[in-house]
Formats: sequence, C-alpha cells, structure tokens
Amino acid sequence: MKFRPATLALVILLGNLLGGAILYLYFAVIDVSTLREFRFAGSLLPLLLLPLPSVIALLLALPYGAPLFEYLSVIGRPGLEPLPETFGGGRIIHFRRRALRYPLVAAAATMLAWVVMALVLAGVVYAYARGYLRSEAAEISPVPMDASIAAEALYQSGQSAHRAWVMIVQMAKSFGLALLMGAVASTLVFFLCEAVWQKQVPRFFPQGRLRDAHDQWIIPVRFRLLMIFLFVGTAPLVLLGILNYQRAGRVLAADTDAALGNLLLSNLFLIAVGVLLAVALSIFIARSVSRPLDQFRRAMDRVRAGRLDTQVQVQANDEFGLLAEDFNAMIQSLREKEAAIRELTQGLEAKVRQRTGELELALREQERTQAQLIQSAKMASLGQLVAGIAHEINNPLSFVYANLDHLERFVGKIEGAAGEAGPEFQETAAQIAKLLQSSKAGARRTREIVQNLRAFSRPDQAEPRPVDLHQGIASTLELLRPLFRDRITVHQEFGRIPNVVGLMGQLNQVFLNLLANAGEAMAGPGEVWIKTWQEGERVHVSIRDSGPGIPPENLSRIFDPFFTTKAVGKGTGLGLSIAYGIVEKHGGEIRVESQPGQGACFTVSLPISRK
Amino acid sequence: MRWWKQMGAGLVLAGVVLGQAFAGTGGPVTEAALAQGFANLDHARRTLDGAELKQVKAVFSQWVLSHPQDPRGHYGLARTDLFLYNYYAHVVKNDPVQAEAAFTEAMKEAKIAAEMLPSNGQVHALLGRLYQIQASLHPVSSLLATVTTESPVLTEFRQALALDPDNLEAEIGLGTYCLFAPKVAGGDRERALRHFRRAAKLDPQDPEALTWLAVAFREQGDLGEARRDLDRALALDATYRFALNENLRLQQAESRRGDSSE
Repeated sequence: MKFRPATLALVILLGNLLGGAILYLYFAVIDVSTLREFRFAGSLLPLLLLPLPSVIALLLALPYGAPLFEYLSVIGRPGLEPLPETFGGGRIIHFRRRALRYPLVAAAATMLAWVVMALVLAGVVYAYARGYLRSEAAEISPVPMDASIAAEALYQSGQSAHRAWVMIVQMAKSFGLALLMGAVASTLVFFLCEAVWQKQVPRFFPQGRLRDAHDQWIIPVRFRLLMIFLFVGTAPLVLLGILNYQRAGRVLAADTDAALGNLLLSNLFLIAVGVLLAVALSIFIARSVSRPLDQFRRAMDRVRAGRLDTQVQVQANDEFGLLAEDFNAMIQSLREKEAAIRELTQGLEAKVRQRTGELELALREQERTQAQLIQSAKMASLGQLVAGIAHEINNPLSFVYANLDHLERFVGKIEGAAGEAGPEFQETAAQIAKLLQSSKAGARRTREIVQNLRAFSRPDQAEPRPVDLHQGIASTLELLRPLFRDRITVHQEFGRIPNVVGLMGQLNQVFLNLLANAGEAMAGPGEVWIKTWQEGERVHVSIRDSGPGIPPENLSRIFDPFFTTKAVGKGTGLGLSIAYGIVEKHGGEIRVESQPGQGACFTVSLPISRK
Repeated sequence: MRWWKQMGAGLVLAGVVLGQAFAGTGGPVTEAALAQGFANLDHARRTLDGAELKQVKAVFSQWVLSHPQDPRGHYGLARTDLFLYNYYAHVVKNDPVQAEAAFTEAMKEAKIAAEMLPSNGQVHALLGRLYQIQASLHPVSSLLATVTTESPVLTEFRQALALDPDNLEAEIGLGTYCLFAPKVAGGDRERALRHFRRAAKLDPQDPEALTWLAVAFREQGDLGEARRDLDRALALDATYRFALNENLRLQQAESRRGDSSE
C-alpha cells in the first residue's frame, strides 16, 4: 500500500477532534453550569477552541516525520540505495529510531497540544469569571447608609469568596477535563497512528530486523497495557472526582431540583463514556494480543506439519514484533539444519550403498579368486598330470607311429612276396595291410589327442601373449568330442578376428566351461552355435545352445561362486564363476541372454590388446 | 439589642476593667477621655460618620502613645480603624488607599491587642472579623491557602467562642464563614444555620442574626424559612438596611422560583 502522510495527518486530526468534540459535548450538554454561570450558554464561541489542539499537534508531529515521509516517497524509485544495515553512521540510527518512535511522538505532541488547550481553557474561564467575581450592586436598598453596611459588605465578600471558589472549581474542571481529553486523544492518536505507521516501519530496516545492538527501541506491551488499563480504570474516577468538586458548588448554589437531576445525568454520562471506552479499548487490546498469538499458533501448526517455509507476518513495534523476528529466524535456522541433515542422510545412504556394493563385489571377487585359485591349482595339477601322461604316451606312440611306417614298408615287401607264395599268403598280407592302416589311423588319432592334451594343458605363460581364439575353441571342441559325440551338432561361424593378448590356458578354460555347460544343459540331441566377430577394438565370441534356457530368477546368480542347479555331486558351481573372473581379468566382459525354452547365449567380449 | 450594642457595652466594660488594671499609668488622655472615646466609637460605628470616627481614632492614638502597654488603646484603635475601613470602602468608596491603610493599621493593632490579651474573646472576634475582610479582599489566594491550612477566620472565631461562648460577633462570623466557604475549607450550611440560630437566641432583638438566618435559608433553597426569619427581622427594625437588601434578593429568588414552577 502506498503511504500517504495525509493519512497520518488525518489520523492525528481525527483523534484530536474527537477529544475536542467530547469536551464540548460535556460542557454544552451535560455540565451546563459552567457555560451558564460564565454566560457561555448558547454561544458558539467555545467551538473556536476545538481545532486548537489539532493544529498544535499537527504542527509538532508532521515536521518530526517529514524526513521519514520523504524517504518513503522516494524509496521505490530505481537507483535509490536503501538504508545501509551497518550502524556506522549515527544519523542512520537516529533516522530509524525516529521511524520507530513516531506514533509515540505523535501522541506526545497531542498531549502537549492538550496541555496548551487546558491552559487556554482555564484562562478563558478566568477571563470570563473576572466579571463574575465582582460584587453585585450593594446599593439595592434605598435606605440611607447605616452600620448594617458592614453586614452587607460581609455578605458581598462571602458571595465573592463563594464565586471565587466556583471559578477555581470551574477552572480546575476545565483544565482537568482538557487534560483528560488530552489523554484520550493521545491514546487514540497513538493507536491509530501506530496502526497506520506499523506497516511502514519495516521499510527502514532492509533486512527486516527491528532491532540490533543500536536500533532497539520498542514500546513494550506491558507499558501499553499498563497505560491503557490505567487510563480506562482511572478516567471515570477522575471525572467523578472533578464532579465531586462541582457537586459542592452545585449544592451551595442549588435553587432547583433540576440541578440534582443534572448532576445524576452527568454521572451517568461519565459512567457510560467510561464503560464504552473500557469496552472499546478492551476489544482493541484483546485483538492486539490475540491476533499475533493466533498467527503464532497457526504458524506452529504449519511447522508441525513439516512446512518449514512458514513465516509469521507480525508487524508490531513491541515484543510480538521481536518474537516474530525470532520465530522466523528460528524457522530459517531449522530449515537450514533440516536441509543439511537431509543432504547428510542422502550422502550417507549413497555411501552405505556404495560401500555395500563394494563389499559385495569384494566378497564376490574374493570368492571367485578363491575358487579360481582352487580350480587353477586343480587344473595346474591336472595339466601337469595330463602333460606328463601325454608326454609319456607320446614317446612310445612316436615309436609306434614310426615303426608303423617301417612296418607298412615291410608288409608291402611281404605282400609282394606273398603273391608269389600263394593266394593264402596274399589274403593274409592284405588283412595285415588293412590292420596296419587301421593301426596307423589309431596311432594318428592317439597322437592328435595327445597333442591336444598337451596344447590344452600347456602351462600358462608368465606374460600374456597373442592368442588365437579359433585355435583355442577348436582344441576345446576336440576335448569335448566325447561329451558331444553325435548327440550335439556344433555350428561354427568364425569371423575374421585378430589374436587377442591374454593367457591361452585360461581363455581355453573359459571356452571349455561355456561349451561343457552347453553340452550338459542339453540332455538329448541339440545344437551349439559358436560365432566370433570383431567390433572396434574388441573381439566377441558367442556360444549359444538350444537347451531349455536359464530361469530368469537365476540369471543374476549364475556367475556367483558355488551356484549350481545340478544335482549334488554333479557340479561344483564354479565353472561360470571362474569364466567370469578370467574374462574380467583380461579386461573383458561376459554377458548372458536367455529365455526359458529358447536356450542360452553367452557372449564373451575381449579387448584385442590389454592396456 | 444588636451585637454592636453588645460590643459597645463590652468595650465600655473592658475599658473599666482594664482601666483598673492599668490604673496609675497616667498620660495626656485621661481614663475618662478613653471611656468617652469608646462611647463615641459606639455611636460612630452606627452612623459610620467619618469625622467622628477620626476624632475617636485621635483619642485612641494618643492613648496608645501614652500607654503603649495598655491593650485597651490598641483594641479601641483597631476597632476604630475597622469602622474607618468600612467608611472608606463602602461609604466613600473612591478612596481605596485610605481604606487599605485603615485596614492595615486595624490588623496591626488587633494583633498587638491579641498578644496582650490572648484570653479575651472580643479581641479574637475582632481578629476573626479582620481576617474575614482580608479574605474578601483576596478571595482566590485565601481559598487556595485553606486547602492546606485552616483558615485564620475559623481559628480566631472558634477561639473567641471558646473564651467567650456568648460572643455574638464570633457566632455570626462563624456562621457567615460556614455559609460561604467551600466544603474543603470548612464550609457547612447546616452548621452556618446552627450558628445563626444561636446568634438569634443570644439576642432575639437583633435583626442581623435573623437576617443572616434568612440568607442561609435562601442560599439553601428554603425560601419559606428565609421569608419567615426575614419578616421577623424587618419587624424588629423595618429600616435595617441589610434586611431590606436581603428582602430584595429574597423577592428575586421567590420570583425566579415562581417562574420556574409555572
């Protein structure tokens, strides 16, 4: 809302005119004795005094607020720097204090104006009463002067004293009532002014704080309530007290019963004014206290519901205002802490998840490594054994194979001689030749087996070397021939792939495990498709079978060590786990795709060169 | 008999008594001349004859000069100055300086007499009367002073009555004080009526007490009682100026009430 100083002036004017109107009504309607005795009755002259407090109050209050109004009028202009927050300049503090105390200054100006009004009113009463004090004509009797003039003089002086007393009472009453109306007007001006001004005060505090080490200048509620209750409680009593003085004068001057009725009426008026004031101010006070409390209660409900963006909008220049600031600051702090805790919790959860994953990986790796070590040791022993056996077989086999050639040459000579010896020898020679051919084929076959055994069980090189995967696959298939026999048809679709740097024995073991699993997965006849290809810097080998496939719930576990679906004693559950470990160690990866009833496809992806 | 007469007789009696007490002091004014001075004073205060009052004052002044320790001279001089004040203030009217001078001297001499005769009721009654005039000259300050301290008018008249229970001047003085003073300063109309009734009893032939009774009733709003007492006063002295003036005021009040009742 745009602030207008005219509103403030109107409020000050209103409060003062209201006080003046009450004062005039009191003298014009209720306490007619004053106006009558001093011949004011029916005169509009006292009305001329009514604007006096308003003018004085405005003349005092508005200049005090002039710099504040000027600041408010230009604060919205672009480029205007708001008041700095620092307290470096005393003028700024003074400026803010001026803003904070403005309603009080307006009320004080009003009270001062009414003090002037009270003095002027008492002066006017005195001026009019001077004539009243003069004795009435003593020469009202045509009788010649005698000693009774002393009695007459005594009577006149007594009347003068009485009238002087009436004048004092009327002056005191006028003065007191004017002061009382000043208190009423000041209270009204204060609260009205504050109601209008409260919304402007925070604009002098850019960071929304009404207090700091130097700017604290509030009007505590306890002072406000004390002031109001004192005023409400004492105002009717003061008025009645003044009336007691008036009553003495009235009784002394009473010549009709109307005076008593008038007195009762004035008492009733004062009581009614007191009650109305008490009720109105009580409602005002109750609202001024209950409204901020209600706002705090609602705010706390919202905070309890978890809405930490809640702010209490209490703009009051008292403890409630300070409490609102503290409350908002507390909520702000709570919000920041809650955000920090949430962030911390989320980070903690992520860290826990990460650590758990790492631990699981480490555990799996450890298990795999352990299994691999066991298998490697087993395979190493087996390889040594196989290599030893193959070597032992290979030596006599070489003799056998070499001798078979000689034997075939000798049998050919025998066969030529047998033709000459007769048909019986010729048939025997032919059978010997067949037997020789068969033996030679068996020996060749045995030599191939031995060579494959040696190739497969060749001890791992210390350093990775280029490995021909096709050769490794072929050797593996040869080893698995007894398992596959005629039951499983192997389809090979080898692409052009370069050698892969790695450990040949370990890679052969990967293919052996995958192909053996494929063969074992199919109880009856089946097919196995082996495909190789190159993609970028990686070589892929896929081994697909036509088996029953892997159930989805097992897909995530098939690479776990010791996981097996085979019967107890049939499998160790280490094959795929070892294969996974070997591939991973070679910087590659192994994937599995499977649909129930549609077989399984393992794809090994290896980098061509290890980095 | 009016209280002035009573006072005059008292003055003569006081002169005789005090004369015996101070016999042999001697001086230019003889005891007989002093007694004649009191007699002349009694006559002059009724007529408020200025020339006669001045002559009486000369007698008392000479007596005071020759007998400074004689309270009769101071008392007589104070009384004479009081009457001279009345003369200057209410008869001559245009000589306030003389009036003030007479009042000031009266107050001074009365205080001296009161110091010399602290147990004399007439002296205290005179002082009370003088304080009453002083209060009428400065009504506001006198009233404000009574807020904190008792009025000297009240004090002196009370003391006069305590010393001389039948002192008519003090009785009427107290009545007038109670009639006009505000309550905070000891004003009480019922008490004023009691004093005026007692004064009327002390001297049933005195129209002044009855007139004051009428004044008190009128001020209280009881115009019937006021009329009855005033008629009694006028019956005693149909030319009594204070009663005639009160009669006019009462008639005005009766007229106002008649207008208001109609």
